Amino acid sequence: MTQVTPALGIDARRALAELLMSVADDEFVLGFWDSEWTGIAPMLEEDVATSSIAQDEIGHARALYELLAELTDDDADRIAFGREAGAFRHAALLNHARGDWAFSVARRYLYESADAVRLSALVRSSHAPLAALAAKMQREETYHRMHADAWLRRLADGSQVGRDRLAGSVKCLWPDAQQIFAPLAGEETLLRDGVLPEPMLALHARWQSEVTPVLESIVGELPAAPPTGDGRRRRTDDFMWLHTEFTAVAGSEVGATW
Amino acid sequence: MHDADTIQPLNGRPPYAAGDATAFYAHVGKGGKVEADDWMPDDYRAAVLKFVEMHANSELMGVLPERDWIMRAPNLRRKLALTSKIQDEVGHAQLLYRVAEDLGKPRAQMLADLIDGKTKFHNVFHYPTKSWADVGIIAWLVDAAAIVSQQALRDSSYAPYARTMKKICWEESVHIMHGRDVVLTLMNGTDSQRAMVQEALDRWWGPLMQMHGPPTDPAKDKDLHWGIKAKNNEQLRQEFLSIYVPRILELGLTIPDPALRHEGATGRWEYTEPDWAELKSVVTGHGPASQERLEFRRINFAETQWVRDALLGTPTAAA
Amino acid sequence: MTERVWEVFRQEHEGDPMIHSGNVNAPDDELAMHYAREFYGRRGESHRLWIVPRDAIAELDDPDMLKPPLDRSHKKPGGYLIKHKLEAARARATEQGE
Repeated sequence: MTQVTPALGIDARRALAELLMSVADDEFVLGFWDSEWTGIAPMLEEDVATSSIAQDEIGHARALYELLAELTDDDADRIAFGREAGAFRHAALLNHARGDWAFSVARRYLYESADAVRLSALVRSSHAPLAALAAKMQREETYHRMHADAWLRRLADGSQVGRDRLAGSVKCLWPDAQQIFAPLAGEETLLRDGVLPEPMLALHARWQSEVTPVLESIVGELPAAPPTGDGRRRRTDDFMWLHTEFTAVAGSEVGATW
Repeated sequence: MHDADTIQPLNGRPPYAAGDATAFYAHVGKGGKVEADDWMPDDYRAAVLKFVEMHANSELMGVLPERDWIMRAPNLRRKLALTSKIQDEVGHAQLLYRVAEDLGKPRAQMLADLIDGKTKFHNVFHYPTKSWADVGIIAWLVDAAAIVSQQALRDSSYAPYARTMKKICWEESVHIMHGRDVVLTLMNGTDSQRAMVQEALDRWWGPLMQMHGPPTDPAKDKDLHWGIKAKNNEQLRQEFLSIYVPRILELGLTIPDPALRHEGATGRWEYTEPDWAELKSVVTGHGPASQERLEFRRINFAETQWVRDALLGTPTAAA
Repeated sequence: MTERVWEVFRQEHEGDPMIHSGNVNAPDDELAMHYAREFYGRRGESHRLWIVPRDAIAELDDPDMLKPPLDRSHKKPGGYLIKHKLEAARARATEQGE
């Protein structure tokens, strides 16, 4: 069965590619960081749970890269492993290395809650393949959210050490988490065509109203921190290290299959 | 003919009475099974615990060589498969530590003994990894050598262990396919990829031949006698060679042992005597990566202690 | 909170019996559910799971109660040996009909 891509103009295709790449890169980079817990998580049972979630994230990235590859006549692995670091479009939240368990829990809570808001819009996308994929991702994200919520509560209520570490991580990540909703290049085109049913800023406001009371009850007042134009273009040394790692084998021999 | 002549009453007697070690060993000697709550002699309990604990340790330490490559997996499918494989090994460690816990040793104590070097893990996990081909060789051949012995453990007299091994063997079969797929892809690739596989095989062959241990006197092997395990070391090695030597050679790889040959008359594989001194040295913590791996576990265990404390409200580490 | 052992029962397909699969450690029922899902469902191999604290299970394994020594054959189909009686009945019926 061949997927019929609706006839889109060049601007519309470029904007759609930007949207797909931003979501895919978020999932890909987060999946890599979270997968690093495999084998060393705090408890064996939790190790297996965290690894499943990391694998789901990579799986979502793969499905999104495949949609993108179809649109741009490219290859999902080439997009994931063959780009320069500067060509990635993940949000600044994903620029940080894994950190400790509290840092990973804080980031996953921020990401999963934002992703849920974003998916609730993407399931209504006029681009049918994206809407269908978003609906599937939404089903897997149910468990991710339950898991992130469960850990947020446990660290907040468990011990003073846990609460302090969690609060420190939330405060550190808060500004960069906003960048999940950074305006996309070509966003007006996406909105015009209904590919993106709501503006990023509207999704941002909804997410903030959901998570701010929860987080402020743990960490105290959080600063206003709007998304910025460079929110998906900044790169850090942490990400440069990660990029060097995941391209180490893939980029070691031109044209080889692995 | 009366009905009563042909219908036997149920035998309601237990196979052995609590405290009767002779009857207990007669029971397991006849293939009888033991459950966690059943009475068992202390030396049987200790032997099962030691065996299962080392198996659990091996699964947990076996995570680390492959984990070296988890951030370097070269495409999306390999990333998923390798992460999933390592996750399974962690899962196996959990399943086995659960079996061992129910024999009376707390998990925290077992983890503490492991990182303190008081208990052992399999020789193959004391070696470093050097290339992506190691991921293929480990998943294919190390797991294959392991599954040969694990399949025999599905018949263990200790029933919770036997049941766990059924689940583990089912999962391991996926790993072998993943490893074989990695190796086949490299062998069908470029000259340097093929050379990478050969180089990895050259390094891993010695440890693989040592993995099942030196031949033992079956009469003195109490694990065998009590049915904790069902096959001796040499049987397992022969079984591994029978299945895997042809599969290695058909890919155009060379096995680095000029003496290796199948002796038609005896039906046995002949091979250069493995370096048993190396095996002994490696499993007692003197392998090339032993201390580095244990140190890595120590650091990570210490760094996550606060999480266990926060979750459980009490320190979980034991002395 | 302390760690507890939770026993996990698995139903493979809709309508199948719940079969004991193994156990996990978890401090509470919420995480026990997550971990049961991981250990006995992450490959899509389960339709339903039951997660039970081990200390809620009552075990009975006394052979005097489960395998009593006296004859219970009247409770099982195999306890009724009708082959020869059926042969005799058929022979008699055939005789009468002639």
